[in-house]
Amino acid sequence: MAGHKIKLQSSDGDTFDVEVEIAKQSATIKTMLEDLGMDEEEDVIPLPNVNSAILKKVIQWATHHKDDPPPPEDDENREKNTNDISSWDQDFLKVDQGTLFELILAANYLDIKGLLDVTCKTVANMIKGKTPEEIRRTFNIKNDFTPQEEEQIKKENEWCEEK
Amino acid sequence: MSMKLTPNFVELPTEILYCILDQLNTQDILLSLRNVCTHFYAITNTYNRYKIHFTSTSSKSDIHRVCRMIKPENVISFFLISTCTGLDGIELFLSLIDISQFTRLNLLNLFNISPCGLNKILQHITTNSMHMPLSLKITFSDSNNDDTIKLLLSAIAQSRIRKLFLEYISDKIYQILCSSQFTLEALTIHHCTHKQLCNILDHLPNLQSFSSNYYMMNTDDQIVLPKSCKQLTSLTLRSCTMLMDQLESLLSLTTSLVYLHLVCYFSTFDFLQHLSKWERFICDKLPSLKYFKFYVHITDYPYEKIKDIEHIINSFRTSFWVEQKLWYVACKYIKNSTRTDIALYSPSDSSIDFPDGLLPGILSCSTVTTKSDDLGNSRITWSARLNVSKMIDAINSNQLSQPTQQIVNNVTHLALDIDWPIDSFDFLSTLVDFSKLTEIWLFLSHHHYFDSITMEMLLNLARNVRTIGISYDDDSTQITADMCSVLCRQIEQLKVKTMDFGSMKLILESVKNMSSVAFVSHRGSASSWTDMIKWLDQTGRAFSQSNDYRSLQLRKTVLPYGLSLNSELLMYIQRLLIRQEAERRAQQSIEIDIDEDIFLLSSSIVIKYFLSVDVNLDFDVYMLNLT
Repeated sequence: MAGHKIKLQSSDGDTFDVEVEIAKQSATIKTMLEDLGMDEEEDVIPLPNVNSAILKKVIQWATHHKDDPPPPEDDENREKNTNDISSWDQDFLKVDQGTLFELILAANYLDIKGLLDVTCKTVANMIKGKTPEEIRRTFNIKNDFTPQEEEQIKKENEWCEEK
Repeated sequence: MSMKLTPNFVELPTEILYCILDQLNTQDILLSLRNVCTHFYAITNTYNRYKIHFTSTSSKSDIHRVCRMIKPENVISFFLISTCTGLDGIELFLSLIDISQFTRLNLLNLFNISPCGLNKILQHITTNSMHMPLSLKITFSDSNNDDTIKLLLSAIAQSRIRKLFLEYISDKIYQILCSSQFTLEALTIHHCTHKQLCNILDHLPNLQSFSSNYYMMNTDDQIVLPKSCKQLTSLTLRSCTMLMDQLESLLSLTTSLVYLHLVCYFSTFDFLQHLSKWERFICDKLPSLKYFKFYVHITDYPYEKIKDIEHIINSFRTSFWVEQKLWYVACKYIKNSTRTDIALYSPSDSSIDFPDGLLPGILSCSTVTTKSDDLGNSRITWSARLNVSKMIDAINSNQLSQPTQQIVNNVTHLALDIDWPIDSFDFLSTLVDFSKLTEIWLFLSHHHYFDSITMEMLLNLARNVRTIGISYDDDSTQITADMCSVLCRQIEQLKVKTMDFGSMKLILESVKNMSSVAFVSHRGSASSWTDMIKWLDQTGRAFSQSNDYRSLQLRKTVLPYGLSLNSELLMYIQRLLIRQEAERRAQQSIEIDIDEDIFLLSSSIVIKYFLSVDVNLDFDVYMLNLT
């Protein structure tokens, strides 16, 4: 039934009314609805791994993408392209790193392939072409290699003369 | 109460780190990410979906280092592109590895590899050490090499190859493919005739997917068809010309198709008209079809007949196309001095890149169907770009006939290429209904001065326009205070293509009452926004920059009522009021119609911004553009 809604409950107890068709972009929720027969409006689907702020954003993303045309047939020969993020998604993902990683975790838990893809692409774009030191700075990562390990890395990366 | 920690990159679960690595190339993973910390070092050792991509010109140092670090059993694909002969990067790579150790390969893309290198790889495919059937894409450097063909066919015969992509099918390969019952599941051949396709379908009973980039239909009257092709679930045909009756006859047999992609480079209006009636055909003959994409192009299409195309587009605006199947259709018409083209196609998304998606010339128009279309209303909305002087020249030189009616009924977005002084919009009025316009872009040549009187004249005609875009071809905007004053009376959003620092400052100072101002860079511009961003920071104006760095957007803040009345309020009260306003707006953002592409930043970001800058007491504060 068009416009039929279900309730999603975040880890911090907030409840969100969401159209079934929007919620079903999550394979996890789709399975719950179909396997457990949870299709009544009063049924509440608990999502203990997603907090309220992130769930709100996931619903916003799923609402925007509810009418997306079906994705093209999976073509393994097509190389991964991280430059094809739509401008709406780019704006949507202008968030701090903590939120971005929480969105990735939520997309993974809820099994929303499109959101997982676009969030992982965003992180990949933050890595591409950067040196190890630049990556450390970008993500605030500590260099924890021992001097011996540093030596090993140096050996692996020894300069090979261009001929 | 325990404090909740937000996740950081290093702490992400391995499966998610793998998903991120899937988006990176091997060099970024092994030469950078691996050397960040011990955790990533370990992850890059266990990650087992490496895709090696080298070309002739890849850095030899990188090739050596990758070969030194990578574990062959963790590699699933090779993309090897050779563009020269001699000891290039590909030859070096093949000389450094022991191909027999790469036992998990499932995808090989080999372009122009020397017969020796290619045979080495094919030999490996036919050995028992390979764990799974693979996809193989080959562009031969020598398609007649007997050893290569023998090895390839041996690999196919042993069911080592699941998907095969060939640049073209040589007689030898074709004969052998059609003489044995191979178990290929997918076949792509760049050049293929209809007869070859039928024969292949008859001889490859397991074939589920077929694709051809240069598919040639039979031009004789007799329609040749395969005996059966019910196994086919995916079909892609790109062709110069397509004959509708032959196409329908073929598709009537492919009743299991889930994916269909048709491209016709030189088509006819009749073909398009027939295609637009495919709703019934698809329901009857292709009941499983889930993905349907097409591109149909017609050359020399007269501009007077664009309205006829509207009937065709309306056939694609039924519930079946836009609601049930979500198959949207875009139309683009381009008329320049040498040719006239029209194309109907399946767009990647249902938005129009205006004005950049419309090329300059004499006339171009575009439209796209969307789910938000009012299906009961047959009025299609168009974007158009016109060069009136070129159009008049074309009429005077009999390239175009004198227009007697509007090009299309409902142009809402209009871009004008203007290289001559305008004293009247009469001619334009015969082409476009100004009352329907909501956005106008002016592309002005540097020697033409577009004055405020002309702008006023234009806006008086186009009373519903709320967005104006202006672009000077030499980036020296000449938007005067007079002009700004005219714009501010009607326009809510001003977009200016410029990266000239002086011009941008001048414009911002002159259009203080404008709700939104955006500066857009010219395509391919090498300039940066550095000076402007520095100035915006210094003056406390908030802005947002698009992800592709092509535009800077500023929007005037409507401050809380109390604050706007009393500039003497204490700073902390001002901040409190701003915080409340920001939270209110963030709350509203959830309720805003997403279809309007409006996205409000989360309250935390807005508050963070406002608390980090001193509020300018003349309230000339711009907030992050929320649209």
